[in-house]
Amino acid sequence: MTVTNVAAVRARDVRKSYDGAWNEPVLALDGVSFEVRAGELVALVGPSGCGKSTLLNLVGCIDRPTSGAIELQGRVTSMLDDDALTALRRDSIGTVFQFFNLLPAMTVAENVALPLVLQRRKRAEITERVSAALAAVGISEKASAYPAQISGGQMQRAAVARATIHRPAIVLADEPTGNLDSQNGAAVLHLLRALADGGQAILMATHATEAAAICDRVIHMQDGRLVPAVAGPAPLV
Amino acid sequence: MKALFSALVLGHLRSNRLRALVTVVAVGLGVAISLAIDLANATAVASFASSVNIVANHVNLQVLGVGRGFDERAIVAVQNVDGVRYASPTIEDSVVVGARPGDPFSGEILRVLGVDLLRPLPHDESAAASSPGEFSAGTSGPDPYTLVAERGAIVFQRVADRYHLKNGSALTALAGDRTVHLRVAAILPRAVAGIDTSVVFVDIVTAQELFGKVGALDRIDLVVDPARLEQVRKAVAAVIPPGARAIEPKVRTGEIERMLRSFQLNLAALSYIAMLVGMYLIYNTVAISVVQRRPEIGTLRALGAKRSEIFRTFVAEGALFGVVGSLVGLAIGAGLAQLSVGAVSRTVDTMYVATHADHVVYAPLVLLKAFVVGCVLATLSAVFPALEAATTEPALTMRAQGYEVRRRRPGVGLACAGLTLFALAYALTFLPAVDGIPVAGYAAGLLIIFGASLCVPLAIVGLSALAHALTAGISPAGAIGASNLGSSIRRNSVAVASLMVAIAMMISVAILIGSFRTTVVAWADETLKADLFVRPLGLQDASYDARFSPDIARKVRAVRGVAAVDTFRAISIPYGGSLTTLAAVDFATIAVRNKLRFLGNADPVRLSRTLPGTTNVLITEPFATRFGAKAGDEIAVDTPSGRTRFHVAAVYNDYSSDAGVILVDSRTFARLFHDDSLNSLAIYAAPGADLTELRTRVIRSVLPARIDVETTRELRALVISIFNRTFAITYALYVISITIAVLGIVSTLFALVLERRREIGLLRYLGLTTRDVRNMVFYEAAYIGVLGGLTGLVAGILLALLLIFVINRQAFGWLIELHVPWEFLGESFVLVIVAAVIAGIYPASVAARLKTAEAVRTE
Repeated sequence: MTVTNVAAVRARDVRKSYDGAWNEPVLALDGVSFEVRAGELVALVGPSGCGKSTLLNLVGCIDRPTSGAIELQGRVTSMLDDDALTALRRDSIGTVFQFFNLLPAMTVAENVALPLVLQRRKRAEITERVSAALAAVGISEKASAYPAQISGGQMQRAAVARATIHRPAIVLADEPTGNLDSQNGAAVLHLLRALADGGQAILMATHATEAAAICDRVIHMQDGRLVPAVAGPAPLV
Repeated sequence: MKALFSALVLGHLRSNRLRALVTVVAVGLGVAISLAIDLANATAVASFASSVNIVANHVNLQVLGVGRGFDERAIVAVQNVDGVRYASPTIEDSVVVGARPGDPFSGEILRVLGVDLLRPLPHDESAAASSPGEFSAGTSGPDPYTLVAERGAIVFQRVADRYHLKNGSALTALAGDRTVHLRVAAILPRAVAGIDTSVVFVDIVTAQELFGKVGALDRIDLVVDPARLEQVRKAVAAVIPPGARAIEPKVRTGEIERMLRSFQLNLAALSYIAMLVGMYLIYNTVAISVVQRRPEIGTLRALGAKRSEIFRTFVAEGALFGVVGSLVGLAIGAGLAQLSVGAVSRTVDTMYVATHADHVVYAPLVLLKAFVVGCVLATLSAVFPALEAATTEPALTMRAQGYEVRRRRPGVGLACAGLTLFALAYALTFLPAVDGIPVAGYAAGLLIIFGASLCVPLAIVGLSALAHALTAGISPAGAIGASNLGSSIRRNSVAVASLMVAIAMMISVAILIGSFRTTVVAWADETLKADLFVRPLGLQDASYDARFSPDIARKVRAVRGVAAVDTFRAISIPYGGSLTTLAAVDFATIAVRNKLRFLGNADPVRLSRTLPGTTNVLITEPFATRFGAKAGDEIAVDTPSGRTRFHVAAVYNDYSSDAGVILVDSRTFARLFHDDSLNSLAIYAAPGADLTELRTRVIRSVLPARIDVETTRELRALVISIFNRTFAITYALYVISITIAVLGIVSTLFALVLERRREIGLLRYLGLTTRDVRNMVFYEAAYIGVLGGLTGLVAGILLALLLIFVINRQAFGWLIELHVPWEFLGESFVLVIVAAVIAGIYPASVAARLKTAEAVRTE
């Protein structure tokens, strides 16, 4: 599937400042504007402290910009109250974390099902979609295992399945290979690439050059600002 | 060790102040309630013991009579015994002040002590400085003329305040059926150590006149040469009349202790359940500490800390909770004792012996025992979690792992162990009591509690799966709460188990009381067959002091509309190292009115024909159990006519006193005890008689004597009312136990919320609303409530069966029919869930306030 013109997420002149240790304002993001379209896999790269995580938090609707706007499916997040933001996170965002963040109390299948459970989907639909999602990431046989009983690579596959099972507008991936060996890292990148090829918008913060290499586009950040994006290499085959 | 304690315990407690506080309060409540009961029990006995020294200190021998006392000339013979330094003749009886007709609980009983107020006390340190004796010896005392000629009475300031008395005031009271008038001759100060303030001192001659005991004494208090005590005792015993006995005061106190033992032991056992629940909480708190500090423990172990040091550190945490909690418990318990003493002494006064304990005796040993038991149990509670901390490998403890690792088939092994304990408990029920104490029964109770606790983990696994299946697709909060429940099995197990223990106790006692009440009501219906009952006006206690003259019975019999009158008289007698009741009724009426429920195949017609006038007696079932007596046995009792051997003709069912009753024929009693007074009458109305009119006629017929006449319905209500009052304290006990258990739920949920901070943040990130987060905690609390309720119900029913068919049977001799108050159990179950959900309010609000961004941002 090709990249469409529909923006899954759009940032316009976004600024974010925090109070520093001595109550002086610290500018974490300074006039950031970009968009990610459906079917596009975009890498967000830059050195530590450049503002990548802050930007992901804003796009992930767990924080609000100081000025400027983040639009998610055409809705300006800063205009929404906490409940609406929660609903937006539940319905329109999927996230893959560096440390997987699977709930240890739940089986792999239960973890993957969480977004649908939170959407109060019917049990039959949940069962069916969880099976499909696990099959898609290749860990069907681990459905009833607990996170502590599977490998890191399998955990991250489960996390990918959880991030996409509810067909969100955008998937945010925060250093998805940062805690994996190279083989498992490559497998996860393959998965993300395949998802994007299937029409999923993905914004991935990463330090890894091999991760950036599979992206459609790379956004460079430095000191809270964007360095003009450059076209990425051709997708890995 | 000190550095480890500071690093692992103190710092952690500082940052978990709320949980530490909840634990301390819970332990404090547990210690407090058991202390309050122990103090109440000790006070009942101590106040009786202190009455020995009411006139002179160092009384080391007493001559005690039974019933109406013994010939006063005995004082001369006793005084002449070599080694007797001081002898105080005493009349001990009671009057009622402020009684109102129709209210059996109205008025106050004042203990009247008739002593020789005109005689100086011995001139040594034994003189009780604050006793009334000083008035006779000193110059500021009451006027001797008032004391003797005007029936002068010395009262305590409390009584003077309550009835607005001052020197010279008239004090009107009831002595049995007669109104008597005393004049206040002096008022004693409020604080006189060891003397209960309901005592009124009168001169002995006045007392003899007041109570119809002219020429008699109830007791003689003696100070004898302590070096020759036994020798003097024997010499005194040789010169006193038949029926009287010379004993050391501690023997009498021992008899009372033995009589109260079952009652007090049962109360103490119930109160210790509250402490047990508190101990579960300490176990939980230390276990949580261990889990939360796994990385620190691992680091310290990696740096060279020994296993034993880690173990001691966490045991010391338990001990710290024990010390602080016990100190808090001492403070709360001392306050609660003010209430418990009132409740316990009311029951003791009504059912067993008139102690009139009106202020708490803070026995240092009782306080020390509560403190030590609290500390030891708290320390023991920490042993298992401390062992876990000490034995875990450093590599494992350092792993960033906040949760318990799931195990395959968790809880199955434990449940099997639990079932084994149940089987063991069942086996123990076949063992007999040891010296009247159902030791094996109590042990079986503990096994049931521990067995049920071991079944809790499996119950959690089951409910977690069931609740998840039921709520998935309907309520995300419910489904996640169910998963959370199953993911922290050990943590939740302790919270559920402590709730289970409290509920099991509540349910078992409720079933016991319900069954007992049903049995007593049936017994009262069957045995209270008369139409009207005549008794002295106002409040009465177990002393049987309130008496009628036989004239009253004669007058009542003559009233128009009265078909028959049964009489009743009772006295307390020493028997088998304890005290029991000897009661007299007309055996000829047994067949006519058939009021007794005989055990075995006793024939009432034959008994009523053959027993009157003989020394054949009937005994109650509790007497048979307590003293191991049965039909056909002989019972030897000291009477004023000498030692008499009674033959047990039959055993009957009775719920009036677990101290037991020996029932003799009234003719035999009058002959042996030289006592024809009566305590109550039962009137059978002629057919067609109007009971209201008959009641009025009966009251008028005995004037100026003052009596109360009650209908059968009123007397039944009185029986139930006394019954309810007896068990009132048990309700207070289980309310406190459940409060402790609910505090345990707060503590557990709060700890789990803090531990799951990151996960809750993640769930919020994934789209769980704040309301859902709150509901998730509420669901988990409700699941704990459901589990606590269900397991408590099962354990409670098992405990109830044990209490009814083993413990009460062995301790009291009661034969109780099982009656399960299902409605109450249902209501309790719902209330427990509501209480559990309420316990979740604070943890839920903390969970809902957790910042989503912070939880995920730590990436």
